[in-house]
Amino acid sequence: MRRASLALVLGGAVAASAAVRVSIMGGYAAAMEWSSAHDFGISAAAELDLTNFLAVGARLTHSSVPIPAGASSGTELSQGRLRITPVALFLQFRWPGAGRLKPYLAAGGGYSFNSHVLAAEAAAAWDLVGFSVEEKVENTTVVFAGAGFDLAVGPRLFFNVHAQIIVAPLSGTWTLTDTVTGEKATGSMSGSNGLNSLVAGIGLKYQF
Amino acid sequence: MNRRAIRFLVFAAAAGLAAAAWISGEPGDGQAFRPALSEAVQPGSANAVVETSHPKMEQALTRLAETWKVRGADAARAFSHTRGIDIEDGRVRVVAEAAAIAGGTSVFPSARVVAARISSLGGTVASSFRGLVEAFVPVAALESLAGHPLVSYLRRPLRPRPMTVSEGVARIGANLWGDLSPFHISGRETKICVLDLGFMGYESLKGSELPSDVVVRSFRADRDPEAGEDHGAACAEIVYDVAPGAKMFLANFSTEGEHRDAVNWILSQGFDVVSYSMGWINAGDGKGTGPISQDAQQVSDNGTAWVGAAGNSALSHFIGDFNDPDDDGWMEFPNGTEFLSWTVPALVPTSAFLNWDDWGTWNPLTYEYSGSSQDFDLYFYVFDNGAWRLMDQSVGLQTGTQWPTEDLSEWTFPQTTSWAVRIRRKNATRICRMEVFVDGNSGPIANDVPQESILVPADAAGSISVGAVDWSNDQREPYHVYSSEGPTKDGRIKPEFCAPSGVSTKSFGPRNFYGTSASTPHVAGAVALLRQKTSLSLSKILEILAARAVDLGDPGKDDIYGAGRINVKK
Repeated sequence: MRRASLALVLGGAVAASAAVRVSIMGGYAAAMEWSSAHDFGISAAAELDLTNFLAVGARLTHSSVPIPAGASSGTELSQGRLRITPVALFLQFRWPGAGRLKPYLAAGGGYSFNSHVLAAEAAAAWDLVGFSVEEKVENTTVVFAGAGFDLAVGPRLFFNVHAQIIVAPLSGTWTLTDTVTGEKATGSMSGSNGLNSLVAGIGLKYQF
Repeated sequence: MNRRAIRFLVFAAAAGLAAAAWISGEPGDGQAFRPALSEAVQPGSANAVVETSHPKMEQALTRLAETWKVRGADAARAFSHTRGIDIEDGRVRVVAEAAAIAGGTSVFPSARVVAARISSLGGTVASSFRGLVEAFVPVAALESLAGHPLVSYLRRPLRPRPMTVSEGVARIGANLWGDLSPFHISGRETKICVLDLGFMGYESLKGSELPSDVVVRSFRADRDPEAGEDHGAACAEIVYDVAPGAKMFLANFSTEGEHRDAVNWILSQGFDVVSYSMGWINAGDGKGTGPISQDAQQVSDNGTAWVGAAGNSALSHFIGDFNDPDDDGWMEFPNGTEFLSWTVPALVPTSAFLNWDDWGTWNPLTYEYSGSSQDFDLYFYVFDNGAWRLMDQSVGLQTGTQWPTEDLSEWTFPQTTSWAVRIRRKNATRICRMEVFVDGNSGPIANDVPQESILVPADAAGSISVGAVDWSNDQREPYHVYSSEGPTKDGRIKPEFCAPSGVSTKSFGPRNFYGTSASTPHVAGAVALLRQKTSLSLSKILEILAARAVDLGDPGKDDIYGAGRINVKK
C-alpha cells in the first residue's frame, strides 16, 4: 500500500521487488573553496525503492574539515575547523539490471547544520595581542548530487562506494574585539558557494 | 617664504646624534673604528696595499696575506676589519674548496687530504662537508694552502647578513603580530609613506631592512631620493621593522613648495599612514595653523594617519612675556639678564629663532597670515675674550603683512663658547609673548622652558604627535629629556604618544638613533600594523592605542608623554 501510494505520487511504475536499504559510509571530505581543507566525512542513508530504477531516501552527512591559515579574506572563513551536517531528501536513479553491481545517481536537497570553530592557535595568537576573534556560520539550505554503486557481497549485504557534492551558501558573521577597550569590528561572511563540500567514501549497505 | 626664514630641522640625523653624543658623552659604537677603516683602504695612504691577485684565492684573502707579509700583523688586522675577516691569534677563518683527485670525480678523499694539510700548516679544521673544509688557518699559511694541488679555491666563509631590528619593536609588542593572519581584510593593502629629506643608502637596504618593492618618489628639484641624507632611510627601517607587511613608499623634499607637492601626491595616493620625523620652527603660530600644519591637517582630514615627531627642542626653548623693567627696550629674561645664552661646541653651527604672539589671522585658502603689527628684533652674540660680542642681527620690518619672526642661522666659532640672543622692542603697543628656539647647543639653554616646545606641524589637531622615551625603560632621563613638550599655544594636549628612542638601525648603527625621529616611526608602524591586520577604522585604532598605551608621568594624558608609551600587545 505504501509502495503504491509513493509510486502514484511520483508517477512511476511500482517495482517488482521493492525494498528498503540502509547504508553507512565513511571517508574523505573536503571543503571545495580551500584546496588544502580536507579531512573526513561520514554519511548514513535510508532508501526506499519506488520502481525498479527509482528510489527515494534520506541522507545524513557530517563532514569536518580544517580551514587552513590565511584562508580568511574578507568574506571567507579563518583558520579553524568547519563542520557541515546536512540532512537531505533525495531521489535516486539506479541502473536496472540483475547483476551484482548496481550503479546509481542521486540528487536532493535539505538543510545543513553548520559550525566553524577558530583554530586554537589562531585565537591564542590574537589573545596575545589583546584581541578576541569569533566567527559564526549560519545553518543553511543545501542541495547535493552524488553517484556511487552497490556491489552485492551477500544476499542482503552490499559493499557501497559513494561520492557527493554538497552545494551550500556561506552565511555568517565575524567579530574582532579589543579586550582592553571593548572596541569591536564586525562584518559578515557570505558567498553562494562558500560551504561547498565533497564527501566520498566506502561503506556497507543492508537491504531489508 | 625663504625671506621669512622658515627653517626645518632634521631631528635624529643631526640633533638626535648630537644629543646622544653630548648627553651621554660617548661616541656611537659604529664611529669608533671608522678612522681605522678609512686609513686602511685609502689609496695612497701609508697602509695602502699593492693590488695583487691569486688564481686560487679570493682577493680579500690574497690582500690580507700580502698585507700580513709586507706590513705586518697590525696592518693586516686593520685591513681585515674592512673585509669582515676575523683574525684571532694570527689565524683567519676560511673555506677551502677541495678539487677532485686527477682521474676521479669524488672530492671526499681530496677534502681529507686538504684537512690534513691544514693541520700540518698549524690550522684547525672547524667543519668539513663534502668538498668544503672550513678551518682556522694562520694568515701566513694562506698562500701555501692555496697552492696545494687539491685546493681548488680558498675563500672567506659565507655569512648571513645580520638584520637590524629596532629594540622598540619588542618593547611595544609589535613582534607578537608577525605571525598573525589578517582577520577579514577584504583585499585591502595597507600603504604607509615615509616623508623625509632623504633616503641615502635605501637601495642597499632593499630586501633586508626595507621591502624589496619599496616605492621611492622625490619631490626635490633634482629628483634625488637620497639627497645625501640617511635620516629618512633610518626612519623607514623602523617602520618596516614594526609593520613588515605594509606597502612602503618613500618620498622626499627639501623646501616648503616641494613639501606641498609631496602632500598633494600623498592626498592622491590614499595612504593609511604617513610617518613624518621632521619639524619646522617659525612656521606657524603653534595653534595648528600655517602652511605646514595645514598640510598635515589636510592629510589627516583625508583619512590618513599623519604621525609626526614632537620635536627635540625641550632644552632649546624659551617662552615668556616681553619684560623690560628698566624700560631700555631690551627684554630681561627670568634670570635677570638681557642675554639668553647657551653653550656651543667648537665649530658646531648654532642658530636662533624668535617669534612672538602676533601672527594675525590665518587664511586657510590663501595660506597667509595677515595683521601682524608688533615689531621686535633679534640680536646674536658670542662670548669672546670675556665679553659678549655682537655677531649678527635680524631686524625685519613688521608692517602688517610679515610674519612675527626673526632668525639668525649657522654661526660657528673655533672654540667651545657661549652664544646669546637679546630681544629688542622696536615698535610694540602691547606685551607680547616671546618664543625663542636655538640649535647647536650642547646643553639646556639658560631660562629653558620645555613647555610648549612642540614644533610645527606636530601642533596640528590632526597630527598624531610623538615624544621620545628610552627603549629600554620608558624613561626620559637622562638621554631623552630633549623631547619636546606640549601643550600647543591654544592649550591642547600634545604629544599624543611617546615611543622608543635610542634604537638600532642599519643606517645609524647599533642603539644610535635618538630623538623623536626614531620614536615617530614606531607609532606610525603600530598604526599601520593594526590597519593591516584588522578591519578596525583609524579612529578606533587610535582609541585602542590610547587605551593600551603604557601611562607614564602624571596619571592620564599629559603634555610630556601624551597617552603614554605606545603599546600594541595585551
